[in-house]
Amino acid sequence: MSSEPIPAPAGAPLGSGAAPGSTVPALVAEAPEESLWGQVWKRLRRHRLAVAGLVVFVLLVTASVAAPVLAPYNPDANDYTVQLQGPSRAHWLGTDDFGRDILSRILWGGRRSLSVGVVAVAIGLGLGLVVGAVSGYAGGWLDNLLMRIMDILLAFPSVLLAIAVMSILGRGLGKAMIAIGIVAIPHYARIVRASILSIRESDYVVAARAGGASHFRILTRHILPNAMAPIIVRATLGTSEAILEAAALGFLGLGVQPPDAEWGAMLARAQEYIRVAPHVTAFPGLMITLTVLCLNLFGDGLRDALDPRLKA
Amino acid sequence: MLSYILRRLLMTIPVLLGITLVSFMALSVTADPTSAILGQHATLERMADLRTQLGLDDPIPVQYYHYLVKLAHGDLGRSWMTRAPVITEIAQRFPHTVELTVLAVILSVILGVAVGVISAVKQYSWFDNVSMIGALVGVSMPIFWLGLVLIAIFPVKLGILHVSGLIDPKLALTSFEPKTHFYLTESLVTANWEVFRNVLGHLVLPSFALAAASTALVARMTRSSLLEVVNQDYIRTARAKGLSERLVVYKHALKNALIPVFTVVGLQFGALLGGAVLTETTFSLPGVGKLAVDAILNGDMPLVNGIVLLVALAFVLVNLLVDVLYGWLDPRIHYS
Repeated sequence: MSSEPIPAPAGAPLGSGAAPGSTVPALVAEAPEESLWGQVWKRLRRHRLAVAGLVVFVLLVTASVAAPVLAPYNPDANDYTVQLQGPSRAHWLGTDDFGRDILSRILWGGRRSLSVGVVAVAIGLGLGLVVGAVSGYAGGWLDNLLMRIMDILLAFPSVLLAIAVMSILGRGLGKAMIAIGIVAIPHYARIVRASILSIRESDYVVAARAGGASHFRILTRHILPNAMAPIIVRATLGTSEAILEAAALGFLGLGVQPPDAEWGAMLARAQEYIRVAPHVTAFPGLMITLTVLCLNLFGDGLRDALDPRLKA
Repeated sequence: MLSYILRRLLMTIPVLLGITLVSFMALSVTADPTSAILGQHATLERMADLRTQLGLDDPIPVQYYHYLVKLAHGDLGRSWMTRAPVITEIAQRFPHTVELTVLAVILSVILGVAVGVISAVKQYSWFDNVSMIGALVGVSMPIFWLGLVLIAIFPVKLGILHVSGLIDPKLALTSFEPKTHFYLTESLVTANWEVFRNVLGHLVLPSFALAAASTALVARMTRSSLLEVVNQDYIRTARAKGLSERLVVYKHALKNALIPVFTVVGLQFGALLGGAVLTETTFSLPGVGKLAVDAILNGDMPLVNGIVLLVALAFVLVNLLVDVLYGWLDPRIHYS
C-alpha cells in the first residue's frame, strides 16, 4: 500500500492526520481534509502520464479560450482563391472547401466542442447528484422508482438515446448539450447512490443524526463530501465521453449548425472532399482524439491517486 | 438457474414497458400526424375530425393502451417519408446492421484476445507497451473519424476496398437475388463466392472502424485478467508439475481469464449498436443506423421512434442473454 517515502518538507507534522501518537491535533477539523487533497496531489504528481494529460488538456483549453487572439484568420471568412489547400506558411493547417483557415476554425471550434463536454457533464452530474442522493438517502419505494427510471435510460445505447432526445428537442449546440447531459444522468445517479448507501450507516453519520442535524445538512455536509472521490473520477472520464458524443452529433449534422465551426461538424463537411483533400479530415479528428486521450489519461491517474486501494 | 432466468425475465418487463412508455411519450410530443396526413392547408375542422378519428382526443392512458396493442401486433405506424410501414422499413435494414455488428464483435474478440494474451505473456515488453498505448488511443478516437482515415488510406490512396455501400450495384443486378436481407450470410450459405467476396470487401473497413474501441477494451481486459489468473495457486501447481508454459497459459490460465472478457464483449454489443449509427453514416451502409439518421434529418418521427424502440429492445435482450450465459460459463456464480 503506502510504501511512499515520508516527505520531509510536507509542512506541519499534524498534516499526516491519523498518526497514532497524536491526540489533540487530530481533532482539529480542517487538518485531515487539507492533507487528503495534499496526498492526492502528491500521488497524482508521480503518475507521469496523468500529469502529461492534464498539462496538454489545459493547453488545449487555453488555446481555445484564447482563440480570438490566437486565430490568424476569421474562422468564417470565405476565400475562394485558396480552396482546399494543403498546409502552407500562410495557412499552417491548410484551408477547407470555402477557403477558410483550418487552424482558425479548429481554435474556434474547440470552444464549442470543449464547452459541450463541460456543460453536458454539469447537467448530467447536477441532475444525477440529485437523483442519486434522494434515492440513496430516502430508500424505499422512491429509491426503487428512481432506479427503475435510470434502468430504462440505461437500456438505450448512449449515442442512440442522445439522437432520440435530439429528435424531440431539435438541432443545435445547446440542445446537444442537454441531450448528452440527459444520457449521462443514470451513470452519476448510480455512483452517488452507491456511495451514499455505503456511508449512510457509518458512525459519524449516526452521530450527526443523533446530534439533531437535518437531513439536508447530513446529506450535504457529511455524506456527499465523503462520496466525492468516485464522482470526480466519473466526471473527468464523463467529460471525455461527452466530447466524443458531441463530436458525433456534430458529425451527424444534429449539433452545431453551419457555418459555425465545431470539430465534429468540420469532419462531416470534410468527408465530402475526402478524395480531393484528405488532409482536411486529419486535424479536427486529431484534436478530438488528443483531447479525449488527455482526459482519459488524467482520469485514470486521478482514480489511482484518489483511491490507492484500487491500484492493483 | 431456471428460476434465475425466469426472475431475470420478469425483471425485464418493467424496463420494456418503460421503454415503450418513453417511446409513446416522445411520439405524442413530437408527432402530430394530422398536419402530416392532411397537409398544411387543411381546415381546423377537418383536423379536429381526424384527431377524433385517430383517437388523439382520448385520455393519455387509453392512448397508451391502444399504442401497446398496436405494438403487440407489430404495428409501429407508417413512415412519413416513404409511406411504408415502419416495421417493414426496419426489417429490410436491420439485417445489415446485425451482420456489421456481429462482424465487428468477431474482429474485436479475435484481435483483442490475441493482443491481450501476447501483452500479458510478455509483460512490459515493447509489444506490451505499444499495444497498450494503442489501446488507449483506440478508445479515445471517434469511430467516424477512424472510418474517414481508413477511407482516405485504403480506397482513396491505395485504391483497394470500397468507400461506401454494401455491394456493387452491377453485381447486385446480375448475379444476386437475395431472399433475405442478410447478404453476407446468404451468399455464404448459398456458396455465391463472388457476392460473398464483394460484400465482405465492403464490410471490412466499416467493421474494423466499429470494432476498434471494443478491441482496445477486450485487449486491456484480457491482459489484466490473464495477469491476475497467472498468479493463482492452481497455475503454480501446473507449473510445478512441469507443464510447458504454452500449456499452462493456453489451457489452464486462459480459460478462466476469458470469463470477465466475455462480459465486456456482451456489454459492448449495445455500444456497437450505437456505434453502427456513426459507422453506417460514414460508409453510407444501408443499415438501421443510417436509416435513423436519415429519418431524424427528415423529421420522420414514427420511423425514428420505431428504430429507437427496436434497438433498445434488442439491447435489453442481448444483455439478458449475456447474463444468463455468464452464469453458465462460470459455475462459481450463484444466482440465489
